[in-house]
Amino acid sequence: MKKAKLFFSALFVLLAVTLHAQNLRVSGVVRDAQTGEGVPFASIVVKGTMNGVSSDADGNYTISAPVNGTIVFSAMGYVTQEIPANGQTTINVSLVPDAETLSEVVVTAMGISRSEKTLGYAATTVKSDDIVGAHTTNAISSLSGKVAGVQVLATSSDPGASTNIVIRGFSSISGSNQPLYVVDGVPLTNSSISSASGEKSTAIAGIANIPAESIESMTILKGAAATALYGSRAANGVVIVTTKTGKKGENRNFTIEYSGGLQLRQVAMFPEMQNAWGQGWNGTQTFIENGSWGPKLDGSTQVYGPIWNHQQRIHEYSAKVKNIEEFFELGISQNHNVAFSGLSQDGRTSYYLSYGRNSDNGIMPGDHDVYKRNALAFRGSFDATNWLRLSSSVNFSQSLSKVVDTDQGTSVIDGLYEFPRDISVVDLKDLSNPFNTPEAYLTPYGITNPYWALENNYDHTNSQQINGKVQVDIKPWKNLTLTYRMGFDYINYDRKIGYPQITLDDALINDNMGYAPSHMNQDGWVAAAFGKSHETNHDFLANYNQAFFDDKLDVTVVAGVNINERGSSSMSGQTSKLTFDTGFWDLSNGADKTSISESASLRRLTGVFADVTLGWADEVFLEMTARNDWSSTLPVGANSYFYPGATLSWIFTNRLPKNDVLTFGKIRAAYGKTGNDAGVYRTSVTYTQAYTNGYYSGSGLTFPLNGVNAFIAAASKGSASLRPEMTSEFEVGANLQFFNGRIGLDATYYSRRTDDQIFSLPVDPATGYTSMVMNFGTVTNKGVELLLTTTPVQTRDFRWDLNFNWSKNNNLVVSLPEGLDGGKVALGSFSAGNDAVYVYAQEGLPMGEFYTYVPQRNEKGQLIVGSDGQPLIETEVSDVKKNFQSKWTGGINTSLSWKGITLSAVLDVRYGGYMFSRTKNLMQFTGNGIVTTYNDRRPFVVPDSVYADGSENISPIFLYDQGFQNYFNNAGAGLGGEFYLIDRSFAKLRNISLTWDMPKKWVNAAWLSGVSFTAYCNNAFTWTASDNRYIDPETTSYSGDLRAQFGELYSNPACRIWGFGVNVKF
Amino acid sequence: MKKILYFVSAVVITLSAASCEKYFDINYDPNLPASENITNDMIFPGIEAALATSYGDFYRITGGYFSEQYSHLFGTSNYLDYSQFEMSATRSNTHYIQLFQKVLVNAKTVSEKAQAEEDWGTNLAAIALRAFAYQILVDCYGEIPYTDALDDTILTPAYDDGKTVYQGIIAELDEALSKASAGQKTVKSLLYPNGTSSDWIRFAKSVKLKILSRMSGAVDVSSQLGSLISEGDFITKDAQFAGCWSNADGQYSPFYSEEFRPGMQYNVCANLALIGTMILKDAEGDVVYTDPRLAKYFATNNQGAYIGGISGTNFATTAPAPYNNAAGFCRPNVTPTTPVAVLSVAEVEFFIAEYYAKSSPAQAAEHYAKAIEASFASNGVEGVDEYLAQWPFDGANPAKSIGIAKWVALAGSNNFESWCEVRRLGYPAFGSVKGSDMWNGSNAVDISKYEAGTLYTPYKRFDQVGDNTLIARWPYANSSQTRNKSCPEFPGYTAKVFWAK
Repeated sequence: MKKAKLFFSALFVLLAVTLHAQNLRVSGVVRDAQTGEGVPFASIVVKGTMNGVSSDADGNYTISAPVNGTIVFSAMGYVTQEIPANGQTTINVSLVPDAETLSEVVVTAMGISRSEKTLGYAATTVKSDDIVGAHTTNAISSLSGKVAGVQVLATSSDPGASTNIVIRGFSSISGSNQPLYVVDGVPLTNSSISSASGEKSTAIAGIANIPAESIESMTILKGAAATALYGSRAANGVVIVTTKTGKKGENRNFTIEYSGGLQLRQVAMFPEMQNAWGQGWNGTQTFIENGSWGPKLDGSTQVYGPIWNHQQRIHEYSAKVKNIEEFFELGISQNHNVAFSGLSQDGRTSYYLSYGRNSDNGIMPGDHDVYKRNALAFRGSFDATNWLRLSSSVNFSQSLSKVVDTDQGTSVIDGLYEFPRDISVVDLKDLSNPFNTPEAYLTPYGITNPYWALENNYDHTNSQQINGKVQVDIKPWKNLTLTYRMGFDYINYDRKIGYPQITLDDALINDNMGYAPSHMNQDGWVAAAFGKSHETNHDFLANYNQAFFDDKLDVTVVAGVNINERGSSSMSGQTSKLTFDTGFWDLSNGADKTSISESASLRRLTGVFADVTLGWADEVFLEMTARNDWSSTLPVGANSYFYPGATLSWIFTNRLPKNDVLTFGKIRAAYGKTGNDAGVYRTSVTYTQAYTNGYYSGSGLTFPLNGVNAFIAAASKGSASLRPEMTSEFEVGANLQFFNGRIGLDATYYSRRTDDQIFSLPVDPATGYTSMVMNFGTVTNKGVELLLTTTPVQTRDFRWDLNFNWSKNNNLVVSLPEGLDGGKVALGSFSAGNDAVYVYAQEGLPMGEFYTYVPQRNEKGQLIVGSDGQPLIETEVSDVKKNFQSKWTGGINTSLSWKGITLSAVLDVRYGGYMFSRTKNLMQFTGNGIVTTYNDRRPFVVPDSVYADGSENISPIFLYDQGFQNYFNNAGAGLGGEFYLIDRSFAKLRNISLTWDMPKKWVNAAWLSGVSFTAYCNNAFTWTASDNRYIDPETTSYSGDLRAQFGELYSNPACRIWGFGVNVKF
Repeated sequence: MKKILYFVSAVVITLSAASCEKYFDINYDPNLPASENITNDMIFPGIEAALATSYGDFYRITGGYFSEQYSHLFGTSNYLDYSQFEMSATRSNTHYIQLFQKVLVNAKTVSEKAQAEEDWGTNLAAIALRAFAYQILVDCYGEIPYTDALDDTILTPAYDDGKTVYQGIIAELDEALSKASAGQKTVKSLLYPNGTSSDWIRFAKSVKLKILSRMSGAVDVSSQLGSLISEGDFITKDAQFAGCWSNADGQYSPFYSEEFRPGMQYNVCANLALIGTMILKDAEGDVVYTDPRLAKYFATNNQGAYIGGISGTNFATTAPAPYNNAAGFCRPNVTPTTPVAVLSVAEVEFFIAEYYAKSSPAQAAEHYAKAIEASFASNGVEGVDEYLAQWPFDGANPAKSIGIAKWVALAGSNNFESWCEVRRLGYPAFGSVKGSDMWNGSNAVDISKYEAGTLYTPYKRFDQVGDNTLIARWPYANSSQTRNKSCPEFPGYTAKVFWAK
């Protein structure tokens, strides 16, 4: 920390030093030639230099320029103008609106700025207003529903939960499908950490650490042609994040901006529960069961729980309809961001300094689910001369996550979902009462009081990240720019997990009612882990631009070298048999020093690349790229691989007569390849310290065993003949603008193919290994992306924008190695005997096909039942023809502005696909779910069923002998494991917000330049499929993007967030 | 000048190419040792621990339920399916993986290294454990990859029939025994911590006796058995993993770790069949004989009595006391350091008795008595004569007397072997009473009809195993079924493995 501070201040001093040169200060106003209004954020650049500023909100600018220099004025949607300075100190310009409004500049590969209209591939840019306007703590979540072909996969609504995005579908069966994040030209290490149960993922570094307020724009490069220059890690697309830099303020050369707000988080969706039956088993009252398989609720006064110290609890045996809802509270969060930015008097030095703080509190009572983030950023640039610019950026962020874990057992959520319907949860708050602790809790069957769990389970993670760059740009002559950029990224984290010890002796239990509370006894444990990772990145770039043939032919050549190194190391220790049962989370608390472990990795990647862009008459553009990489993760001697790409675009409206209907039209085509290396250490055979597996987790042995150490062969075998994975992609598209941009259409068709997947192939353990690393298999993704932007109404005071995006991706596993049974490999599973559910990548199908045990049926399709009338389940899993991938996704974005008031909304739609829901499974296991009220729990014969000999089933299913429970738990209500697969479709009102910009004259009277207020609601409404009465279908458990699609296990409920924000600009 | 330039460029290129190779040659996991640096002493305890965990935990529990030595505790349902004679492909998966991926592949490495070093004692140790593990696999699944197995170039190893595997491991044992000589230092081991090759020779011969005896009904191996028995070089002390356990997480004796460790659900309790056989009552219901080993096998219940559960149920709260409370049942006597039984002197004597039963009933009776003596001695109790008075050797039906006595003798330590031997010998046989005759599922329990030395159809039995039938085999493990196209079609839960036919 100290070091970081020193470094930071040194940098600031260096960059704040201003060297004066023989320049004029030119100022003026940039106006719209038609309306005469100022043009905000116009770009004003001294030609042939990197010296540039932008205009303020009213079009005012000041720039330092040589006496005989030329100043270039450009702005989005206007024709660029060049004006010689000629010694003038005031230059007012009027920019003519450009009919071809696609003149937007996008930052593409390697920080190269390109006019969007010239691109031969799809690149979507999301601007600051939309990013900030989404009001999400994690900026990447703001992309939800906004970009066709981009799926934002939130893992949960818990504070700090990590968010994944997947661009154009899943390509890699075993590797990551995450895009590469590049911030101001430097790759960003994105990482998250799994919870103690491994079923929740919390962001500790990366995009999650960049406050939305400090982002200028995010550009999503989707195809291989667009991403080839970024190399291996761009195989799944690139998100280019451009952060805000120093800008002049209104009437002053700096700005101070504050934005902040308050949010209230509430539960958005609960599983639907029954309210007719209470605590018990087999229809009989048991006093100590979790769940509600007991008798009908009758309002009588009943005892429950064990008899402790001659006392037993009583309650009214009636439904406590809101017993789960009442547990949760409104989580109050706040965020603040202050930015100080400006230009030096001579316009040569720019600076941007910001501090952001987020403090999110979730729905759990008290201070137990929390995410706090502090982010400090500095960016500066200095033009030493016309030909030398130095720039830098340093970001420091720090976060704290407190996680309420969601595993099976003594977790809060399991305690709630298995809770009997007739008992009040809120009455269990007092933890000094033995009936509210495991000592005499109402059930000793694995779950416990959620309030006790909340107080006694501990999972905290702290992390720090410092990243940024130092960049030097040199212009030895006007057509050539040489750039050296050194990027760095350091992350460290420490986390502590504590799990309380329970040591009950039942001494005061007079009657345990069947199963003693001491069965809840558990060895507590403490786990501590420290880790760090680093990434250094060097780019050497040469950018040459020259026009030929009377400026008809424009040639740009970019060539460069990239040297990247990534490493990480971590250490963890765990101890159990605690001396202090709870609350003292230190490794010294354990009587056992059960394990210490460490891990480290290091990888290097070097690439050489070139890009040539040819533009003819601002009409036809051809871009060709090539790259060669060397990676340390491939076998030595075979670690080099080459991949090319090319794109072509044609603005055909240049050939059409000028008209007001089709005002702009471009067609484009692109082809590209991207190679991808392997994960670390997958090229050799290794040994691992010996350990063994019992049946339930934690019951195996660990070495050293009684002083003896041992090593055994690792379960996975590496391969000395690995090759890189290759993704090739072809895309065609068109951009059309009608009625001067009132209607715009961007359409893309793409076809992507990933060959030679590097995979740890699960094999029959009889081979001696459970998996072997190899290249195999091909996956294709083909799809269409449509973006329709409209402005149905536009008057002087009122504007209505309505945008639609839609995308459809067809994913297909084209081939998997022969020999695998049915050509399939498992991506995930929920395994618990007869209701095990698996999801596979299978040849000939999209990735994510669900398999499970289904009931036996005869040739007529009738269920076959056993002598007890229960459906018989097959002994092998079968394909249930359900897949986790969606059929299509879409979004509608709209905004209505009237004077200073803007109402906007984002609707996000996903259609199709299934997921596994443990919450549903739990609802019927415990008898709490509405589904368990089938036939009013009266005896029934399974409909349309026969015995194995073909005769009609006449054996009723009874409640009293556990038949009902078995019917739901073992036979999945006649559907087997398919019963737990729910439709994932949803339509979600992701965000609705109302913003009021205070009138200028009021604001100016207060010496300010802008004030606005916003009220909003995120995750406002979710419409789910009719069979989903359980969870928000976006919820996932498991880390890893593809695996996470399997579904959810014991997830906390999803939240709705109400917020209020204010923005003040000085 | 030009020449110098060429020279300099050549040097630069060569140097950078060489350093480039080095720059990228870093793909070695600093946390995992490479195979070149591993010795047999490092591997062998890992193999043994894996075998001990599987055999002493999962196979013990399943064997106990499938041979009606164990039943399900009131209040939990983790193993209710076992108790109903059901097994699934996923249930056995972890231990199928453990035997192949932790025991067998590493035993193969040890054996190969030992052969290269001509360390024949160590080679025998590895082969003996390999044979032991393969036998378990055949006894569970019937068929198993053997010829093609443990070859990383064959991703879909073919299954061999059980007889081929048995004959293969016998040949391997013979080969390894022929090379080993007594009194040599052998690999570092948990089973024989200070042992020599002599210990492993006795162990290997005892394993061979077990394998030959098991297949003796299906294949004529009498001459091999005869010569092996005449050599007489069997274990003189029970082979068990002892002394390596302690009262700490990850160090507990496996059965304790699974079923008794704090925080685990408790499921296993005594079966009324075993208790009804070890405590004999007269027609009036008065106890006439109590096997002293029972107190070693099981703890008494909360009333100080021996109460067993009924297979196929975990009862209900409506059941009469003591059947409505977990504390009303007897749990196995297990501590954090309870040894894991592998092979006992009693078993050796039972096999010898069985061998002589065909030719020499007197010798058979003598070895039967020795087996009982060994079992009593292992449990530290006395009273062999009283036991023999109740359960004498029956020359007319040796399988019955040996079967019942062995079932009782193994009930406290080696339940998996019990399930195998009950399947093979056919004793204890099913009696006339059924589980549903003893418990009505609601409020009445009557165990007076149980007949000592018999099995019974569980209260609720798995539909694919009929009445009066034991589960005869398991579905092939899920990790083979789903990854190996050579995995055969499952022949059904009642299709007997080759030696039981």
